Amino acid sequence: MVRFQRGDPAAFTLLVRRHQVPLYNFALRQLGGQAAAEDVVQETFVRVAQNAAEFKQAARLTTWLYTIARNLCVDSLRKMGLRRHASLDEPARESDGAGATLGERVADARSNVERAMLSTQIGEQVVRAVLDLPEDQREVFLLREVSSLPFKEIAEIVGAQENTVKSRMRYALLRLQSALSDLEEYARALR
Amino acid sequence: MDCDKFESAMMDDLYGELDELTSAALKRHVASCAACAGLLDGLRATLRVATVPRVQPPADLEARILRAAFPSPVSAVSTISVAPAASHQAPPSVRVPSIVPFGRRAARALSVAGNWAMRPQTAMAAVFLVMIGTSGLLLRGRSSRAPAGAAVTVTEEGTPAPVAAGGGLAGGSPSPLAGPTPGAPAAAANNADPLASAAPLGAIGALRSSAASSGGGPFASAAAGAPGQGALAMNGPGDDGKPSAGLGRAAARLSGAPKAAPARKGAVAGADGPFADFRGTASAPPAHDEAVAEPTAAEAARETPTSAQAPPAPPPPVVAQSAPAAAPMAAAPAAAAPASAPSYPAASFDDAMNAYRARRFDDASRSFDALSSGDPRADLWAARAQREGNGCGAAVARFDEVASRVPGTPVGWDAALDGGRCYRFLGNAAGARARLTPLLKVPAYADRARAELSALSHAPASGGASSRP
Repeated sequence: MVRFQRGDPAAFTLLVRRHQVPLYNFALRQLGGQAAAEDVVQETFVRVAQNAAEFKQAARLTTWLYTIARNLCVDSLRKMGLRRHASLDEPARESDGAGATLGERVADARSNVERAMLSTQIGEQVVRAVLDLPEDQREVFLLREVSSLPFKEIAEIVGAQENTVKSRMRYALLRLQSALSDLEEYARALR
Repeated sequence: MDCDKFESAMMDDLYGELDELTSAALKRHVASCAACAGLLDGLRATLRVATVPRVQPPADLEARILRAAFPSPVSAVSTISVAPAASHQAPPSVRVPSIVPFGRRAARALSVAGNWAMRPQTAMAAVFLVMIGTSGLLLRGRSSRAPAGAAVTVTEEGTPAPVAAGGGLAGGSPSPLAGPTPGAPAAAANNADPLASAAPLGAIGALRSSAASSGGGPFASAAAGAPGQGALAMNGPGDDGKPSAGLGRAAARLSGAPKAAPARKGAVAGADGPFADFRGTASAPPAHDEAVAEPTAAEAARETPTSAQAPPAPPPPVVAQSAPAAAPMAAAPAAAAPASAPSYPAASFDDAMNAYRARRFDDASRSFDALSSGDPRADLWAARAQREGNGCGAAVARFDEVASRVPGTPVGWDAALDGGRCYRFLGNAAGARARLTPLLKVPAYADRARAELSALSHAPASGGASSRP
């Protein structure tokens, strides 16, 4: 980032390559839609480029990046209104050539159990469970699990106390535990 | 560790971020608390299962980001080729504008400078520099106002009052003669060095530090007016008889109090120095009761009879009564001038006096003659110049002429005294007595006249046309 501030444009490319994947996954799981996630990631980096002079070297770049992304996600969620959950009638992915809806894929999961990986089933259930989390718990869970940020940095990003963040994380895990109880049994069986 | 502390430390333990001590305490608590152990196991299993699969973003996302961040029409400063994330995409050409504009860089530099400026060390250094700069300016200004060589001479002239005279000046010689007149050795010393007589005076002593040359001035009056330091010359008909009256007038003159008479330059000669402001105001021809600048240098004090201009005005001042023989501190030709005295071109009168002081008596005589135009003061000084230049024989007639023209005035008394002296030196005792005896009735001149008469009776006349007093 310092190189980019000094006028090295190649540094911005490195910046994008290094952070776009975790940012995209955070936005994707937070918003539940690929297109919205891509818009958030793109807008995040645009704002970074436009406000590079504002960035202070003493701050952590990840904190700044995720703060921007998180605020954009919040704005996007507000625009979406109460449609936090993906509609069962909406194609899960724009790039999905089959155009299968989420309901079709969930319903189709057991029928295609031989073809689908078990991990995929677990992953999809986890994704749904995460999407069902309250927004404040979901963002904390995603920042911790997807972006691997420490609780202290998460607290800075969401603007809350660290203990509050830990508490939200605990409640998120308890909710996921309840939602994934059958998978948890399976996981215990795997041990 | 209890259950409350366990819950607060549980999340850190799940991610392995507890320190060893707390982690050991947590493990001990879990080993002893089934509820906490069950909670921890459940959350740990959930974390193990609830792993969100990572999805790769679209391949063109990076290119789109770069295009959106650096649109091509911007005023770019450089162009780079951004390698695409996917090999099937051509590298877009991205023009990158200046990242940090000059204004923001300047603002940042200003902010850094402001942080430094707020430090106490910087403030102290600034104050120190201001003090040094101010001192330098003051010193420079003073040196420019008072260049080297420009000085003011403060000359005390006259014969100090004797010590026994109750606060009068020491010395107390009734004779204005510089010679070792009997009974007035101290006066001779004082006259030989006017500044020496001023040395005991606090005010004069202070002024002497900047004095170098030229005649007396208002400072002589100021010194004379100092209480207890010989204010005899300051007292006169206009005084109320208190020593402080002289001080008051002297102070008024120093402060530039306006005088009715026109100002005459020269009271402070060479006044380019710090006292130049007094030049005009202090030289106003004062009333004859004031001690004014005596245009004498050391030579003048030694060679010329100093004019004691204090008139015999009743009532005599207190100090004058206690020291009747004391000569005034200073007496200038202007002192004898009446209020209606003609004004001279200051430079001309000064030139004449300067010539007198420089012992160019012929020039001085001619200058005073040219200036006189009926003014007895210039005539008196012309006569004195004649006496100094050509001897008493050439001067007595002129002294007589002045004395007869303005009888009963200080100029007339001075002329009579000088004429009497000249007659004594010429060996004409009768002529001397005829001119000195009337002065016995004038308090300010009585002692000197008496001394002259005494000398006349005790010593034989030196005689000679070239003899001088």
